[in-house]
Amino acid sequence: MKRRYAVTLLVLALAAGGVAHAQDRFPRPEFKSDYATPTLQVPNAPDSVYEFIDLGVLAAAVIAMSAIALKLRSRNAIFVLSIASLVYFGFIRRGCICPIGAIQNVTLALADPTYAVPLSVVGFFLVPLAATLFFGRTFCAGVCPLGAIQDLVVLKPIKIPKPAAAVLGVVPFLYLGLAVLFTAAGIGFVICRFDPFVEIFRFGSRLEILAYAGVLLGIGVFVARPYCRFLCPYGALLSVLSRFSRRHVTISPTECVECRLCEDACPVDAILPPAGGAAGGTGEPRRASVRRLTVSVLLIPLLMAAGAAGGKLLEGFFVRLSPDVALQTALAAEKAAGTADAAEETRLFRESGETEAALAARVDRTKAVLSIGSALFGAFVGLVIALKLLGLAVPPANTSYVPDRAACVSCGRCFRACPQEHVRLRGRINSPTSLE
Amino acid sequence: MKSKKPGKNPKKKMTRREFLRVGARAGLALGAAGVAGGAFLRGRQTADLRWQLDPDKCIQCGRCATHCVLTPSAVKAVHAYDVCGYCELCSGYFKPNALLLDTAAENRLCPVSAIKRTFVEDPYYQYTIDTDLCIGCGKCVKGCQSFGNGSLFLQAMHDRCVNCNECAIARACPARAWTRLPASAPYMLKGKSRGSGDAKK
Amino acid sequence: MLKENLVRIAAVLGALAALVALVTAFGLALAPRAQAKPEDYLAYSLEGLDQVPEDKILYREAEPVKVPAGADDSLAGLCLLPDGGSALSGGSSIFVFDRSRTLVRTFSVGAPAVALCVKPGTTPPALYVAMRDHLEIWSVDGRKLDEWTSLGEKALIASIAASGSAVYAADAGDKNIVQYDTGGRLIRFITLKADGGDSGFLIPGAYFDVAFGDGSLWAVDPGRHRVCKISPDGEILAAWGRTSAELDGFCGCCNPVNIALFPDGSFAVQEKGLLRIKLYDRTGAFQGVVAGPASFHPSVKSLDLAVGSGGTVYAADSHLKEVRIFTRKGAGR
Repeated sequence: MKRRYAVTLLVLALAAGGVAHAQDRFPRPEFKSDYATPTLQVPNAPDSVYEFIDLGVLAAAVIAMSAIALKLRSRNAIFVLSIASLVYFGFIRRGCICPIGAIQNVTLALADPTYAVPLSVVGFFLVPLAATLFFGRTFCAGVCPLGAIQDLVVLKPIKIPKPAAAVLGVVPFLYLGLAVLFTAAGIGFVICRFDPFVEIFRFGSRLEILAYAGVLLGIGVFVARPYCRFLCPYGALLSVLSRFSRRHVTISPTECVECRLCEDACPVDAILPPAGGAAGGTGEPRRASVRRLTVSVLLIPLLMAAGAAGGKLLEGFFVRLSPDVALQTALAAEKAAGTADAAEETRLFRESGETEAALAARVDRTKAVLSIGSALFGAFVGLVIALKLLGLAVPPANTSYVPDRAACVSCGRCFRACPQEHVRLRGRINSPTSLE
Repeated sequence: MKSKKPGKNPKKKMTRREFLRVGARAGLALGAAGVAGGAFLRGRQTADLRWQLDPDKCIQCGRCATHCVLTPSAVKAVHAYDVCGYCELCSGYFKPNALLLDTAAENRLCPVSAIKRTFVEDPYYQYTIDTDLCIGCGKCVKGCQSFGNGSLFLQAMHDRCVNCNECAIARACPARAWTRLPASAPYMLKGKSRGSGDAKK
Repeated sequence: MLKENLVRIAAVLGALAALVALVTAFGLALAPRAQAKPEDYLAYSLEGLDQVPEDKILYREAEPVKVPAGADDSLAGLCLLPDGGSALSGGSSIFVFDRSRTLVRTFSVGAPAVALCVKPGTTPPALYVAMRDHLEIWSVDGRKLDEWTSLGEKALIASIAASGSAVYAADAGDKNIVQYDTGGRLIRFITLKADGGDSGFLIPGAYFDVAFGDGSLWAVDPGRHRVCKISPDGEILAAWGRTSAELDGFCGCCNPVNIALFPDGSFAVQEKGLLRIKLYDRTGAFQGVVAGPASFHPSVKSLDLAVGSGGTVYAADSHLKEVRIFTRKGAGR
């Protein structure tokens, strides 16, 4: 409270300070006619309340989607809700703010004391996370407009070989780590900059992004939801949370009959077959399994250390991505060559009147963040890889066909593949036509 | 992720997994709430923020016209009439070497003819921006700023701005003139309106 | 079995290749790129008018004098003292320099001083200091000697000049020149009478300079791009200046901004927009340029001028917080 008061005072002080500006000390023309000076009019900004309405819509949509996916079990309803969400969050609200991008706002608020993250943005960040802990990735099913638009083009999904999927599955975590690192270092909001679909939502004209969207949607015909599975940093967070969700979409409404009919229905290869024998093991000796597990656990610190070393090697590259650093380098080069204002950027920097000391302070901060951050980023990537390996080493426990909770996006395509579902539907609707 | 460790006693396996799952869920919930809550408590910003540029920092580089995600840009020239000199020779209206002080296109600075010049009385003229035509290039602002009183200036119009999470103009702005302002006072105006921010329509 | 392994290896390699391609594409897209100048139709251009031919520049710059003024303080008033030193106002402070250009004293006058001039014939030297709406008299050692009455809410004093018997304050807010006697008694308001009527000064901005030299009062009429010699009752005795974007003219809404008179009656004149200091002879004929736009930061509007012996021109640069010093190029010219 005190802080907000201080901020208000500061704003007032700034406003009062403005009165001293030369353009405000101004001799008014003396009109002889009865001309009245018009006042400057500017349109109001949409009120904050709209963001909270959006937040309410988001929460309602996620809860509705969860109910549809977990209780109603209707692919058609999921589809309708995803279209509605695509229209509202995509084409009407035009993309911002979204939970994926909110990762950066939360990071920036923690890293940069001059930025205060609005409550509604925190809400956007938190609501799908909370929902995922309860119901799995129902947000991804189609509340997220990026997921919804990709889901529309899934026409001929093919299976990705497991090793390839495992390698590409690391990318979202890489992306997440980089997005956090770059935000903290002041390089920018990379998630927003490389948001593939925002140009479609806004009928925008950035060609490279539209091409990127085109490529993703093209690939998405065969490889379902390529952004969700192999890029989305928020999906990376949700996949971790979804593993431990309280409840989750099930393939079969009752007991799995292990008919394998669902396997081909899943476009994102998220159906786990039952593990080996009745004991749930893979049939190999217990000792071998324990040894493999021990090795995997010991690999965690090793891979993290290796990752940290690797990340440190990338520090120089990260530093060069900072526009402030590039500007400082250009200024130094011009000073050395004696050609002031050769480049547009250095000319405008001088024109802006900003001091080189202020620029240097920002560069120093960026470098300080990247000095630690690049190693942390590497260690994080090492941890992710180590945990993926550990996941392979743990014997699966499922005794029937179940969704892979990390990968499943609750799209509901498997429901109708399950014969038990047909039994359920017949029991409920009692109408043979519903079998079609 | 510790829950991945297998149970040593196969009979208790499921219950142990379930126990670890609940523990991990609670831990993750606390973690997410902690990060988000910590981020919020640092600023305690309840109102939403809107992008705006500080006209005192703006150097009219022209990027507001070219870098906005909207076409035409959400940034427009606005006119603080109460600091305007109403000059006959308006350096925001005429090219610096205009041959005649008339409304002929070759004498005018604005590339889209978005400034209307009307005679008030000798020797005063009123200049009005047509916001629908303006593309936000800031040529008139620069002319007014360098020769005149700086009564013309650029502002993001919030009936148009889609408030991108990271404003594309802000990112490209060489003068670092862009900031986020509370949605209730999203303008940085000049003249008498300075500080009033949310001047009503 | 072999075929299956080959497929696996191919898939992993393919995935790795895709990953590398992705990272490279993102790296390239993220790397800071040199931005091009905006296209011509979007960029304000002075169309070469800011270029000054080298042979027209009659002065070279000497080592400037740093002024320890605050970052937001504008260096508004500059004057030379009879002992060869100088005084300068920056914000609410007055900086006094000796003849070797060393800062000898800084004192506060309590409110932003917008103009400064020497009170003639007093020892130790005293200064007329103009605030927004009134004049004060301060000794150069920092004692306040007198404070005159306010000109009111609307007043915006922009500059002051003094003769032996009178003090003139140019009030941009009321668009007139206020004449005082040396005791602070208000003698008259001088407005411009010309063209057969009471046309007044045309002052669109907050810049309105007066100077006293060669026995006469000179003032700028910035809206009409001219410098006028005026009689006490406001008659224009002489005027010069033409509207033009060429080097010898004045352009924009209101120029020139500052003038200073040399002992021989010629002028140093400063313009904003096309930021330059130029020389005109006593008839108003263009002589040459002291310094062109290339010498100043584009944010600078007003450079208060003072002229010293040997034709030296001093200019108070608020952006650099310096007194810039320009001396005539060698006698060879």
